[in-house]
Amino acid sequence: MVVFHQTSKYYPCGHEALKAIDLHIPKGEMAFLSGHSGAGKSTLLRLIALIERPSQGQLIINGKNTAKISPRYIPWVRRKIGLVFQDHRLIDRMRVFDNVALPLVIAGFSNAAIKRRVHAALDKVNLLDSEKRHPIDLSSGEQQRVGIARAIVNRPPLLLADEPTGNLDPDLSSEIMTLFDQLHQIGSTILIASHDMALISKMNKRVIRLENGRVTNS
Amino acid sequence: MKHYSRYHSTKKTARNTSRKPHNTLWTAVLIYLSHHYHAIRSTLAMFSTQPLSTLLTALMLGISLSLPGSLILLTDNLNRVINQWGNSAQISLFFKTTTPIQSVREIATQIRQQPGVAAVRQQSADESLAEFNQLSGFSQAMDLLKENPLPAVIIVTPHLSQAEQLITSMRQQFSHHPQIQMVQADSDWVQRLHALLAIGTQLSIVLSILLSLAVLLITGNVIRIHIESRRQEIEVAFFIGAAPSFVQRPFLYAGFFYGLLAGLTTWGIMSYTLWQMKTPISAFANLYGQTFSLSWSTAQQGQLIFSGIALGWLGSWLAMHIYLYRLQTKQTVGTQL
Repeated sequence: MVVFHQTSKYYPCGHEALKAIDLHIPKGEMAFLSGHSGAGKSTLLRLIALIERPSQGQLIINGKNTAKISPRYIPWVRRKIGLVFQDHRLIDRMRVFDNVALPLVIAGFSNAAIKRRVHAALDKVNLLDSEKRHPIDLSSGEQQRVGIARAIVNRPPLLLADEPTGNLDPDLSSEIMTLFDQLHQIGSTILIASHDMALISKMNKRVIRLENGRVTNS
Repeated sequence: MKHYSRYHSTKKTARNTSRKPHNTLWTAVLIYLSHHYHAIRSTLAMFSTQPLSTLLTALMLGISLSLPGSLILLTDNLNRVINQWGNSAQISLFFKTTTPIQSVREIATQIRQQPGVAAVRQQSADESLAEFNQLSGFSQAMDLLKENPLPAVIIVTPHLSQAEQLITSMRQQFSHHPQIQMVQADSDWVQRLHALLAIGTQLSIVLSILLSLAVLLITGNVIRIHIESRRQEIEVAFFIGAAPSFVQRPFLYAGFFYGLLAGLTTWGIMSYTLWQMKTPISAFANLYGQTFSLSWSTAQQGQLIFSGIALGWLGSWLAMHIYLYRLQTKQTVGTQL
């Protein structure tokens, strides 16, 4: 699904975020990306989401070399990737329903299909009764679940989560992880960046450790 | 059309799972229309959160447009009036008394074929005498003369817009003509009128350009503020796969609606002004024995509203493209569009 081959990322200021990484995440796998803050976890996810481009080396997603994807087609690649952010990035002026529906609106689904799929996604995160509320009226855990619903509503084959439990208490965190595990059971490829080692070890999945921009164990 | 093909060629999931279409073109059209529907909803949401500021902006744009609009209307109407009165500009060719009437006729025919000539009237020496007697009251004195001292005359009425050229060319042609005594044209007032009108037209062009630019900048700035207030939303939309066209559409619609509101406001202001001026203008025209009223054709009204829309749309297009360009080049955010 995702292959890094000697991939590096430098920033103009000289900071080297990733140093010649080799990594393979097969289709249908659920893996954790761990390491201290600044180890390069977010950069790695941003590269996969095509938010940034590698400075050196190759990144192959679904058999396609990302260097050969023209900027015009990036939106169509991104629609096949679900993104979950630490700060959920919900749109406050929109109701929960519309927030979750946004990827479908962008992809041009019919209203009936949007309704059906949003309800299914909200049902999956247990928030079906909150569809008419605004994100600001929800708790932090609920907001994160709305963010996850938005990421999975388009049934993307690849799901990326950047510290999805960063702001949550342990109970909520394990609830969210269970949710990811369920999605993994259905067949999604999932990559979760997290520095919560206790939580990661409980899940018993592949762990990719990043230190100073290098993969130390995988 | 680019969007249609891109959508249905790459967005197979939408097509297969949710629409079950009869053909792909129809699906593409549906997707396109649904995007516009959502964009308009998004735009109206933008307006409904700040109804007062939306109205004030429209009012400001409308007032800016009504100044050049009124000036254009005024010069246009003045042009019409001057063309109505234009018959009073005349060129007279006075023949030598020895000229036979046949030559006068020939020259009259020749003049009729020249460009810019509205009418040609010829008057024989006898007719000139009759006219003089009638107008001057010296008929008895004239009777004492053995010969008719008055010449034959050709009176040429030019089209007003070409009066100056015609006067110059007639002077060149006929001043040294062996049979013509004198070419007389009182062109001064025509020239003055034209000069004034030219100033008015020029002024309305300059003002139109300046105030259109102002409208463009105002809309651009208002849209920029809207973009700022939705910055986070735009970024999220890009992250979950929105194309730039999807992101910019609500803002282009906002520009369109601002322009439409501005056009309608201008229309209202100018209609009211015209209505107010109707009585004093016809009273003024009556003093000069003329019937005249300011006219504003449906085509001009349409043009006005269309210019409003075009300017609003262009302003928002500029603001959006500057924003997208900055977003693409800003490495710190690193947003690849």
